[in-house]
Amino acid sequence: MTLLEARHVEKAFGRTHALRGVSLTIESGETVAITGPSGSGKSTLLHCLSGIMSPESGEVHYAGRRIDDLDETARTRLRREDFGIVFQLDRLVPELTAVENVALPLLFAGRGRAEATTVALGRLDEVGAADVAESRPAELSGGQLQRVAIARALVTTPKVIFADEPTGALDSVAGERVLSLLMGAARANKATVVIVTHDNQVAAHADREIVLRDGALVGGVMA
Amino acid sequence: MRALLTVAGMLGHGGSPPERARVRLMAVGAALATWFLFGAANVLALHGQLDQRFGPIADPGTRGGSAFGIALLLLPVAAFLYQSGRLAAADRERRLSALRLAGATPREVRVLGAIEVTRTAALGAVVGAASYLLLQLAARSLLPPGSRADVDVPPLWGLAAMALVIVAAAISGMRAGGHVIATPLGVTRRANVRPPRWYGLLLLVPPCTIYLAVWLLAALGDAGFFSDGARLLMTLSLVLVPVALMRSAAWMVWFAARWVGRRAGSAETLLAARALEADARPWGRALAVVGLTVSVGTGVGLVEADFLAIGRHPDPFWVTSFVLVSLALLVAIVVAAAALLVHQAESLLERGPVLAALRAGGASERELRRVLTRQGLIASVPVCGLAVAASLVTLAGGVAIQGVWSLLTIGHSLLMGGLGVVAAVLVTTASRRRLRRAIAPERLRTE
Repeated sequence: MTLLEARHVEKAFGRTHALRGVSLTIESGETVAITGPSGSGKSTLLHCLSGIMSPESGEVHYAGRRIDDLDETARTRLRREDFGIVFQLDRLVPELTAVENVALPLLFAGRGRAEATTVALGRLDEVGAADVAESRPAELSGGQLQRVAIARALVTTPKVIFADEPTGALDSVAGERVLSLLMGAARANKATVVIVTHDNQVAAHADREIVLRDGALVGGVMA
Repeated sequence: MRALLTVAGMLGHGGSPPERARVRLMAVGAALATWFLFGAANVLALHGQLDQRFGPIADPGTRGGSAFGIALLLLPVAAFLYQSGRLAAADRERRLSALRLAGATPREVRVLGAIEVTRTAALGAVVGAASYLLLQLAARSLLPPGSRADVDVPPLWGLAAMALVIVAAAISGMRAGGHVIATPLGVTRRANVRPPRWYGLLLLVPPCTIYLAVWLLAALGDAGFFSDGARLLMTLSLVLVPVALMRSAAWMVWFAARWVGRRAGSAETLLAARALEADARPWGRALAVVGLTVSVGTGVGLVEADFLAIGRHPDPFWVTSFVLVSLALLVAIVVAAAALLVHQAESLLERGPVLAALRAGGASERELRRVLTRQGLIASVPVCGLAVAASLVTLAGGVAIQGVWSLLTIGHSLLMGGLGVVAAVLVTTASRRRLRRAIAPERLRTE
């Protein structure tokens, strides 16, 4: 069943065309890697698919519903309820402890502090980061930071996990561990994964690879 | 030195938009400081008796106090200058590091920083002095013809005021960058992990004790306590109130943030409290001035109420005095609010990617706006509350107020405290556009 679909999506930043008529479909439960050289529009495509930004033209559909023309409030609610997002390092709130960072999406969703903390501790335990629950981001290593970020993305049990270069700032060993963890956690939660990377090793973990160059789709590879 | 001046000149042409904003804001701060110093010098340089409608500057006996009052306005300006100096700190730090990589020694980097700030302050001082003198020319028509020569700022005093502003701004600018160690490999910050200290609050003990005792003795009808010595002691202890507020504001912000953070039930309150706890010092610096304004305003309200309570008819001297003091308080609160606004801008600039990630993860812009509003509330309520309470306790002992006038005084004090809180919250509202820019999806791009 098709879960995500982009139809002729175009996006420009000033005179730079980040996406030029990109069309693709992503099936439910699938793991898709979007790859391409730097500046090819990978992150922009991920932002359009996840409703973080709207394309200038074209359409984005999620679970049969068009989402690119929703207003910001509706898209925010969709991201909060159905999507989990993992970025590169330095995207956790520096003043909050790991468990508070993980509990944040639940608190924004209106859950109580005690309940949110309990769920967050459970997620941290799942990703092997329970021991750093009370640490702040500045006290964590790159690998630990990404574990916490994955726990935060998973805490609302999302249907789709979007990951933007999740191993971009890690060495190969730590990156491999974090990636295995992300894929394993997604599989356990039956989540679809869309991962942006320029690393072929990372792409090899996906069911399918979508290659972008200069904002256009140049190919798709089944793993 | 010549080479350094050349490099400083080259650096002056570049800079990111926030860096250019820093230069402009520092120049404005220096101009304001020059204005207030010129104003104080002007009052001190007046000769002879003026018409009563000039209020506290009419009488030679009250001019010293008036000049001191004007000079006190330098406090919010100093806070504003300090916050402005920290704007675009990240860009500045990258530039310092690049200079070290290009071969500059640590001392040369410090000198370049000082040249940059001094140049900006000098520009501000010249603009401030010129605009003051121009306005003074226009205002001369207000004075009686015979006293026109009396209103000039003596040239030497004017030059001294400008030099003072430039030197103070240079020191403030160097201190603002003092937390940074620039090396060719990058920039590290001297982390100030120690929370603010609470000892400043101890300074409130003597005035509160003395004034509570006075209030009690007055209530018991023991008028003998009001000897000259007691009055002097009361006046001296009164000075401790603003000092205590200035010294303890950062601790109060930190403590309130910590207390609220532990009990926060919503994401907005948790984010606001934790951000404040980590950043209590700059908030404390700006809010100390707001608290001071609230405190002085409360005192003025008390004097006004006392004035009305004993049935004096308002003459031009008092009316002008009250108007001038209210105006000065308004200026102080506006400048302090501007300092907070600059700090908020810097904070949003630095935290932009984190906030953008929160928004991407499902936090709405409205929720993130609420974070800013709650920051203003958590920080300002304790500082303004203490300012009102301390002022009421200390001043109520010194002024005999009865019946309806005491209610008026309490109402006035609460109004002043409320104004302080509103000013802090309005600053967060004014930051909306910056927040929108900070959380724009473009801030998330990594390629």
